[in-house]
Amino acid sequence: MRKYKAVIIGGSAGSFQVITKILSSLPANFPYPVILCLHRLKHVRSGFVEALSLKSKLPIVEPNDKDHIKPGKAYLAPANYHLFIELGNRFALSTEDQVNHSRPSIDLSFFTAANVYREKLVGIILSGANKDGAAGLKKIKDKKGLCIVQDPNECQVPTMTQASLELTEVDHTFSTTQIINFLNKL
Amino acid sequence: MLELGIIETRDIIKALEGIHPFEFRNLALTSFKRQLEKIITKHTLRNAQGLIDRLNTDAEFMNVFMHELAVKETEMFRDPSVWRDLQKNIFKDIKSSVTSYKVWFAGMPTGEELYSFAILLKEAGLLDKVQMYISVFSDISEESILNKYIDDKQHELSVANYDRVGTKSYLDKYIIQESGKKIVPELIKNVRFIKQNTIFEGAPSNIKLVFFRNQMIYHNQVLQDKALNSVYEAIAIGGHLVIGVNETLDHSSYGKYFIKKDTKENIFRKKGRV
Repeated sequence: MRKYKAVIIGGSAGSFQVITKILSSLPANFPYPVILCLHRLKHVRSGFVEALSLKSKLPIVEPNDKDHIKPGKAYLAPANYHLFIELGNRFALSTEDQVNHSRPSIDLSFFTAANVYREKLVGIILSGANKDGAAGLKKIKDKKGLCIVQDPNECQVPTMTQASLELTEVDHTFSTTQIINFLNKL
Repeated sequence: MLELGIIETRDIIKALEGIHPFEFRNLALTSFKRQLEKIITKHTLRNAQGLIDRLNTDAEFMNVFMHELAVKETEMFRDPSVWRDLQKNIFKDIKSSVTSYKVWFAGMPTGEELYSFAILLKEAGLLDKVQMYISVFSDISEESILNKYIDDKQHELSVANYDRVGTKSYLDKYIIQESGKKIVPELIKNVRFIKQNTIFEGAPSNIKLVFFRNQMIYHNQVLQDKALNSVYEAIAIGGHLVIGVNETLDHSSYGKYFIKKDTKENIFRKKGRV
């Protein structure tokens, strides 16, 4: 019985290279789904998956509404939708208004993942320029999940990680390399 | 902000279904819960019991509730490439149609898609050839679609989208200042409202094009199936269905009755039943 069921990662400005590094360092048979909620341009629907896929060993997909969540895949929140995790281990999408000026909103993805996976969730906040994700990470902590924040000293834009650290007593503040080592031992 | 638990949400569903025939239990849970939380907060009902009490004691409130249950479309011309695709692939059918070309905005639309389509039709000189239908679940929704206001944020997004569609006009031509930004009502003067109480009753027939974008995302799979059945029945053979760019027909048993158009966009054509 594994201790966790999913890994969810939120990031914004300055997180692309970090995500690319993480994805290139995880094995193709990584035993968890990796859910990526990254701020992105609303009107650019294609290109992001392709860019992330270049070095990733995990297949990267933008889930359709109600798709099953499976291990060994990375799921990227599609442009201009919120990405929710529903009971029954499926995704659900929403076009409700922006939250924290963002759609997809990291907070909303984290809230819903925390409600479904509870203590069996690993949440990671990376570099970013607003506070979206901070409340979501706190929710994961409240549900006894494991919380990791990228070391703000290493972040291109530290606003998001600092906001998260102010709100939540996280389990780890890690460099990119430490995040990768941690995930590979999970 | 208020957060409802699963048990409270189920209590609300039970109360709602005692009053109204809509299948609230088959709405996608997370989004439905969020809409409930917003309604409770907006009307300062404090908690689940506050909402239940209001529903049970104020008959008129159900109308308000059904109006606010619909998730507001946040922009006109969402996904500009889809609108370009409709111009390219569907407008020729409308032009060559000898009878009135029927279009249905199904689900719980809030009017932005309706007006977007009407504007493109008008610019192509096709507005009079099309009979548009739109589903509503509340008189308040009908009124708000007839007098359609968009806020500054919606306006900004809509102008950007419209410009990306690439027509040679400008959106503000269709917007009048009348204690707010209002879309010219003449665009939809012939629209017919279909008052529904459930997602699958009262559907019109012989429809050539159904707009059903980002509606199934608010349904669970049981309701998706029922809704798609009703859409399937409403569409004429060879008619078209357009769904959201990240929606799919693959999870539904009705998916096999539709064939994707030769395009990147989620536009489908109805096949005959085999």
